[in-house]
Amino acid sequence: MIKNSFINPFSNDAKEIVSNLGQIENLDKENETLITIINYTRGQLFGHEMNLPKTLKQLAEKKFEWFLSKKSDKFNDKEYEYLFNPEIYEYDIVSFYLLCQAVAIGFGPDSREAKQVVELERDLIDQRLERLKAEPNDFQSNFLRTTLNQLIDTNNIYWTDLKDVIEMGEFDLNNLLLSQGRLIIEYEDFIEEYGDLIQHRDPRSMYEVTGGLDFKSKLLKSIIMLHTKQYIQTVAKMAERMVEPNPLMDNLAKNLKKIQEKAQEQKYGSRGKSTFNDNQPVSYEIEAFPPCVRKCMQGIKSGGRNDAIVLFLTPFISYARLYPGIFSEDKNMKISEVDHSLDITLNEVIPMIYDAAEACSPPLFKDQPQEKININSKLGFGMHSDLKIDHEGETQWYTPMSCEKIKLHMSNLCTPNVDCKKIGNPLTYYNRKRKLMKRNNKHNSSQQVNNNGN
Amino acid sequence: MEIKLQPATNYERKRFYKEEWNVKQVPDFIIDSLTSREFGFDHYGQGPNDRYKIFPDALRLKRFMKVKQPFAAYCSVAFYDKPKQRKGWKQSELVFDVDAKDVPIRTCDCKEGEVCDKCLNQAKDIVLMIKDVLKEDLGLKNINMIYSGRGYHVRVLDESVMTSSSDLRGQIVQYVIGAKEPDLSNSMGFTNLQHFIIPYGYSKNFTKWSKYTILHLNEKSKLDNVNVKLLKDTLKFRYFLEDDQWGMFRGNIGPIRFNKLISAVARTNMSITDTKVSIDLKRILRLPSTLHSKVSMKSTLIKNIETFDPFDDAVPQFVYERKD
Repeated sequence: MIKNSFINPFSNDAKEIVSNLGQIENLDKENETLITIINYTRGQLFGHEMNLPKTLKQLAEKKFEWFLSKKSDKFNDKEYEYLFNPEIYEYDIVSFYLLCQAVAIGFGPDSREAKQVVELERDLIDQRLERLKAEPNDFQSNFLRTTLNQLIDTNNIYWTDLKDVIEMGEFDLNNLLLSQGRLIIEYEDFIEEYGDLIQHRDPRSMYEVTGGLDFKSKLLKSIIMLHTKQYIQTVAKMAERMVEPNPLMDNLAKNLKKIQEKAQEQKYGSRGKSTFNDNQPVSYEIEAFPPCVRKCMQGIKSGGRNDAIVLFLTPFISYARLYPGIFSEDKNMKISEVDHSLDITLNEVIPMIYDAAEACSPPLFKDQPQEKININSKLGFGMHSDLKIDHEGETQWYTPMSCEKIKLHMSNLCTPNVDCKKIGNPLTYYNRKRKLMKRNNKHNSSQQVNNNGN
Repeated sequence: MEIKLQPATNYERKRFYKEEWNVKQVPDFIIDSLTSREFGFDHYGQGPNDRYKIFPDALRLKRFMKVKQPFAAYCSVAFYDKPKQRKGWKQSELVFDVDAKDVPIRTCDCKEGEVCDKCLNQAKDIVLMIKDVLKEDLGLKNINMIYSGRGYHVRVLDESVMTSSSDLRGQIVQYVIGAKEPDLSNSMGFTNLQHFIIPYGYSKNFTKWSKYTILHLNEKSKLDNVNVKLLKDTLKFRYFLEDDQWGMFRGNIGPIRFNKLISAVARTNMSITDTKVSIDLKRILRLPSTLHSKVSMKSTLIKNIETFDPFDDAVPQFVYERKD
């Protein structure tokens, strides 16, 4: 029997579990039952190098390791099979709270680590729910209904009650079935609301296609993510009043940092040199520019000139030349880190942006010369008319906005082509296209060599 | 009498504020939150550069307007703790700006930047559709519609949405105007699902807006990625949509070209309102009751949108007294 707490750490019985198992002195002690559960997990891979968790603190660390190393080439999911054994639920809950508290105290609620723990929980639930699909439909349906109802009233909830959940971005407002603001989640409500509208089709299938189990799973995940985020915020607030954090939390936070560094090494170490090729200035390859950038460079006729040049084109043109690989790393950059003398910026980046501004109708700087200052500001050099290294850091070097944002802010710029479907940011489009062009060039030249008979 | 949408002279503007403008015409939803709002003014017709103004009560607003007789007057959609510094943001109205000159598929012969009664009517139809979705789908109740002079503003003051972030507002706009192709992926393995066979939720809304856009297309319309042949066929077979026979329409257009058309329509729908206005939490909007000096029309709170006619209900007295 799978317990709700296996999926939802905020379930009613979770609190009880925490009070029984969560005494601080037990968290770093070997736990026989935990070891037994892991040893008897079907499909679990064993080995010395794996260091299977023996304590609740180690279980928390292992979960973090699982999340961070998932994308590496060396990752083997069978090493972490125990995380998906429903019998582990009690220890899983305690380790969840332990993780949340450690990142809240050690790194704060807005830290990268806090974000990672929220995403970790999402991925864990996701995979657990995926395995739940092996169960009969009725079981899944009842399970999801009970689990969700411990968090919200699924027969009587309004979309505005879930605003924070929607804002987390796990699903769109467009995916909700709404009637007078009420969210239609359960089948009986669906039939009552839309039954009369459905003709020549099976209502049950229509429900499953447009809502049903899939939607409930997504909703559940998002609500738990939100609760996790809020819990970390609460702990961080309480921790401000703490004189000295518990050494165990302190130690766990330090270990999480080490795991993070190791995962980073693995991630980049396993990819070979090509990953780093984009993390230095590279010449422009105009042919690889996405349609929105090309359109903007040809000049904007009326309305939206400022946003197009300053907010959209400036970040793209600067990163495309100086650091196209920005999205492969999770860090804030300064232009001088890659263009020490600002030679490239002044001689290539700025002229290209100014050319596009000149091509606007009317030319952007003709009636709005102050936009030159805004361009400097978006490059990270503060609100100054001259671009000087002394001012760098007064503002941030803006990263190129996503396709979603472009559609909202400058919908007239977005005329997607086939390649756009595969990416979510113009800079990613540029990098992908450059790689493809490079590959094609190589292919063509080797073919030419063959054709010449050499 | 035919009303010409021409600029007001300085004399006419002064007369308007002296004789006709009344602070009592400023809607209650603004007066009730007067002290939390920032006001902005354009005195010379060059854009609102006199900003960060505040008024502790309606009387001071009245005095200011009577003395300054501005070219245009605006107030913030945001409520602040310190509106004079635009600090301490508390909440913002949710706004939809439908400018008749920017309606993406206009059926009139107006030149770019101009408006006529035909495109103003089109803007009104759009506003009605927006209001329906806000009420029926999103369950919002405090919806105010304002004739802005050259189009309409829909201003929503339901507390439940006023604290929304820009991102959420972006999603609301996309939902309300059908600006995103519905996500029809599903775990049931149905690969040929179409938005028009789902008679509820966002799909229904998207279908309604797509029908509106397609039915308003003409030979001159330009849609991204839609070539002359596809546009021609769309116009040829769109009569099927009048009876909601989407399957027949798609069959005649062809499935691949249909997808291309629907993607283009979704992008066109995005321009039905000015999205930037909706997602901006600190925007200033024309103050209802004041004069739109560029067209000599009065920005007016609409009591009954069904019967509202700007050429009856939003024309200042001085326009009727013009000699030419």
